[in-house]
Amino acid sequence: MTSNSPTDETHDSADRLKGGLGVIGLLLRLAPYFRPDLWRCAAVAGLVIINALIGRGIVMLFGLAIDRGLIAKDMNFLLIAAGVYFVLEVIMMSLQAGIAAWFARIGQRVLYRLRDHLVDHVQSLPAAYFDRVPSGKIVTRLTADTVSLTELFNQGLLSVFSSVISIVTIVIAMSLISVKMTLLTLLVAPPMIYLAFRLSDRILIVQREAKKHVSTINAFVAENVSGIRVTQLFNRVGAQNDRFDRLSHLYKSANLKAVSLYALFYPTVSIFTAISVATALYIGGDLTAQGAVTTGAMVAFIFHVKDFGDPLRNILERYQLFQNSVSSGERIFSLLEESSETSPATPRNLIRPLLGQLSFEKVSFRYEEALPLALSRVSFQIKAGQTLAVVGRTGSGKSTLISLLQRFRDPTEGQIQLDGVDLSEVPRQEVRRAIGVVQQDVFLFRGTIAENISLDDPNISRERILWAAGEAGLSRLLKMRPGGLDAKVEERGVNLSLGERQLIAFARILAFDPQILILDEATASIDSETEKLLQEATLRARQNRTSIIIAHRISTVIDADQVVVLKQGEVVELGSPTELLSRESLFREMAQKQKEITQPPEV
Amino acid sequence: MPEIDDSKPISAYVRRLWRPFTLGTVTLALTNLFDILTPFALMKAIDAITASDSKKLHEAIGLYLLFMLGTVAFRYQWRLHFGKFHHSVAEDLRNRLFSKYTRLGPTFFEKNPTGELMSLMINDVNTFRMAVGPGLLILLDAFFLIIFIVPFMLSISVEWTWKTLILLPFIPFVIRFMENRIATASRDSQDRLSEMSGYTQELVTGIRVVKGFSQETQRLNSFRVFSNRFATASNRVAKYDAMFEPALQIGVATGSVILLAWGSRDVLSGAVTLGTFVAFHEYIKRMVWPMAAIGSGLSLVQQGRSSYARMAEVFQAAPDVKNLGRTKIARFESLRVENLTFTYPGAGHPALSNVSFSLRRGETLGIVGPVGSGKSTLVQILGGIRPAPEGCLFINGETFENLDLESWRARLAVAPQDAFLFSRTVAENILFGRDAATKINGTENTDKSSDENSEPQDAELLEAIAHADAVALREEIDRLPLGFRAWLGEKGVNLSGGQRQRMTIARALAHTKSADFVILDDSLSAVDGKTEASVLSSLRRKNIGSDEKKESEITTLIISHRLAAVAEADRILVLNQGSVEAIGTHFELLKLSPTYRRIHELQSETKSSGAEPKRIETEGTLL
Repeated sequence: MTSNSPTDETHDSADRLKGGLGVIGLLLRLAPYFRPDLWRCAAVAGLVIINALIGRGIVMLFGLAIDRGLIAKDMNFLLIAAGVYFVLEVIMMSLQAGIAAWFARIGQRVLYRLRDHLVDHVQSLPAAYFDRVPSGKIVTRLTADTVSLTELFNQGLLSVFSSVISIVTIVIAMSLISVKMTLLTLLVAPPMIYLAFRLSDRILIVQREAKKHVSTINAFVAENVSGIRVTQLFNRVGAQNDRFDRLSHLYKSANLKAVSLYALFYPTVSIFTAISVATALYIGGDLTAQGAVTTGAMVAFIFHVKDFGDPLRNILERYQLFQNSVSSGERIFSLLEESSETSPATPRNLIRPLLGQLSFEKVSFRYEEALPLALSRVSFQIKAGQTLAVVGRTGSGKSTLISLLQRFRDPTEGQIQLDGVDLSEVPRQEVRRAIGVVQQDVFLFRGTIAENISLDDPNISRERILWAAGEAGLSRLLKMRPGGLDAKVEERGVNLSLGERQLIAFARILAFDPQILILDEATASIDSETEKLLQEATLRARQNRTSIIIAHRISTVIDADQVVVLKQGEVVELGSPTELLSRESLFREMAQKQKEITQPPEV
Repeated sequence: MPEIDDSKPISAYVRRLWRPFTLGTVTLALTNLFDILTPFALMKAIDAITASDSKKLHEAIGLYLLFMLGTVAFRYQWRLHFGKFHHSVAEDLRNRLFSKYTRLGPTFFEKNPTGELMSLMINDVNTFRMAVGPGLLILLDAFFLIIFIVPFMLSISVEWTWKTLILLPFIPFVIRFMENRIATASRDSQDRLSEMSGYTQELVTGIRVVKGFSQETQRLNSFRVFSNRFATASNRVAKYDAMFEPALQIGVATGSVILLAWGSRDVLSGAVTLGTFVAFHEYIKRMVWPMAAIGSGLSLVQQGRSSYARMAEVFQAAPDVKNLGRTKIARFESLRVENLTFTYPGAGHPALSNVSFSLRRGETLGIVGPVGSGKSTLVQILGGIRPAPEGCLFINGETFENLDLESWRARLAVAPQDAFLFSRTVAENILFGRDAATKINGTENTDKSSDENSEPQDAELLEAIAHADAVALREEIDRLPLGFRAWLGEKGVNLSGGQRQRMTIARALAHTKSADFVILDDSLSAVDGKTEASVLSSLRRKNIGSDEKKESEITTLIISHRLAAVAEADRILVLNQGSVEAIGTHFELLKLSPTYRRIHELQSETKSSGAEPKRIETEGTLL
């Protein structure tokens, strides 16, 4: 990419926690999710220690077998040693398998709790969050980032803990043989470990770079596949290939850099082993000659030293994994730090049964401090059971109005009252149960049509679904569809027509039976058969309900009791449709203009 | 470089990149040799310690250090060589795939969704890389270790060797069994993960419905089901994973036990030294890895093969239009379409049937017709995107099959219906057809800065601005943070649909610097009447940039809904359900074509709309 393309860093900075987290920080943040499994964790830790001790025991047994068996020429001892050795190995292997499987289970339970909390939290976030953050990012937090933590548990935490325990037990076992030899042998450890950590850091940087190349390549391929015709028609195939080859080459270079760093990484540990084994042999030779150390103990010592390398390499490798998990963790916890929708300090309830008298009193709203008012001192009343049509151009504040009614947003000033109760004092869920919305762009979930009507709410019976589908006029349409109500709905309802989706939304509303109906009429053209069904459904849904309709069709406006004309967030006209049409009004002007758009774009 | 034989890709790549592969193999063999010599040095050292011979001990230590150093040095080497080998294979595969993608036609892309093509590019390439890299490597590693270690062991004791190694040949089978189990379990857990992701995706995108109907608790409960299923599947993977290493270790342990129980007799009898005994124990340990390696190596190679098979399908896919002709078109003279009939693969009836018309240099042809009448299909055929049946299409009197497709496309400046722009700067997008490639090819450097070579220079920038002006886009672009250097796309600014459409027109206009056949595929629908006139007149006058072509130099094909855009064309073709309903001038068509007349009536009615309030009762839309 060229220099003026914004970098990934600027993009990612938003979901980083302030000040970063670090491995310890991450573990502390995860601690609450571990709490219910605390005793299990302690048990696993205990088993890890036992396992490490058995490991050392086996090496010591080997040393003992040399001294007491081979050198003392005691065949019985050797046979017993072989038997004990086998039993210990089997125990150790079963323990090792058991520990890993058990800890993985614990990890999954922790992540299950974390995901649970995340989904719960995400559902409580205000609408503004979803407008600000692309849905793909949120989904990544909930899935890919938690999976990255799975790796931390399964391969990271346990492995590092076992490695640390191994190293501690090895050092103890070595010291039991000779403290002096241990100290001298491990003299090279600190500088080597330091060097390896430095290398790990470098590898991490290069790996991140390589990952960035992967996403660049992905984006480039995706774009070029969708723009393939333009490339071909403009004879740019060769040029695009050159560009790609360069990206591909950069990716390879980053990979090769990682390879060469890795190639250095392993030798670091090997050289450490080489130097320490040589030191041990050198000193050990003298010590055995003096009789301070037996030959068996000497051999055991060398085995201990050689065993030192593996856990060390393990820790260093996991270190890289930890760093990746930390960034996932940071993203997850920054999501959890987003504040939820506010709830009233002293909640009030709506009057039961609801009458349905709705009034806006000087309601103003602005999305952001710097932006102009999206709604400005909007006032009107709707009597119970009446219909208000809202008319206005794009950006006049119609959708803001819906958001305020559903309490996805709260007015900056003024009040919305339902039967005299200020909506901002009522819990959001209660408001949303009372006010139902049919959106223009109907969202459907994967599943069946019936599931989409009931939204899987257990309070809505099959009978009610059937009734609602019938009332909405959906049943007539479904007769032609195999499976009827149980017909599959694909992702976002792509296999259904716009009209069918609208009717399902109506059936949904009827099934949930809110006292207030808000309807955002679809602007797109629908075939006349469905159109008729929709009109009937609208009429039926409006019966005995206070309704607000964002109207695009003249017939709906004419039917309404009142019309509000919005312009740049302000009410410019308010009155009955006949009254507005009879005088010189913006509404009349718009009504006249509609003829121009009656003409469908294609004939 | 030799072509890669798709039926034997691994050996083909080994042959092509023989240098790093051979160097890698040789250094690997040396690494293994030194590696298995170290227990030998250790043996000498222990014997020296037992004998309290410090001189021999020092010699042995020296030897040990030398062998370790050799191991380390050659290990470093083979890592570099093999790394170069398999990453070069991956690079070559990526480039081959991309090159193939860019040369394939719509039939291929309709069958293969973008997601799959991307996954092929990243995941399958990587799987194959793992096969030729780590896969081949560990098989070779195993091979060398076995042929080096076994003779060593045999030289110590034939009896010990067979007794302790008797269980080893089973290990590869155990490994493969376990790996298959792990693979099945991982696939299942991946599926559960995508189920969970899918559910979450819907939850987030449909959050307004969820909240609007107060379904939060309900959704959380459903999510738990998916979350739980994923956890269970992951646990299964972890279970098999946990058994993997212990299963291997048991192999070593059994060997060691056998050695302790039986081999020690020979030490007691003095037939074998203690050092040899310890060294033999080391060799048993070292034999386990080759056994495991055979198992995993074969799995990797097998997976790589199936990934390559998927890629081979792309390599062997045929483009819709074959570019076989040799005749170069340097200048457009005439186009003749004769009885062109085209049916989409698998479609019941033709999209175009018996279409005939002709067009000469400098003329303007308008095409009108309802949705699905075949207008876009015609454009695709003219652009060589979809294949025309033989002998239907003639350019400059030459049949289309004989043309050099690239030279024909160089004549075309197309503004397609779907307004596709690239993630580059505004100026680069407008000048997309420009041959910046010559500049890029000129510099062989592959560092990051080379991409900036395609950035337009000042003179070109002025040209881009002039074209933007012609489509009334200049002021809007100037308002963007970086103006004409603003980056478009996901990471930059998003233009509105109308702006994008005008960008594509500007891009086509810019392309007329070299091209002389302009196709506007319904792109004028997004511009107002004034801009439309400006575009059309700029095509007629061609006074943009340093161009001195005369009025008649440009041939234009305009597809439009609005008759105003085509009314002044030399001829207008009315398409209806794939057939030519009529062809002629605006006035001729008013008499000849019922479809044309109907469109004309509807559009002129709109113009003279003096809608009375009464008319409101008709179905309509308020803005």
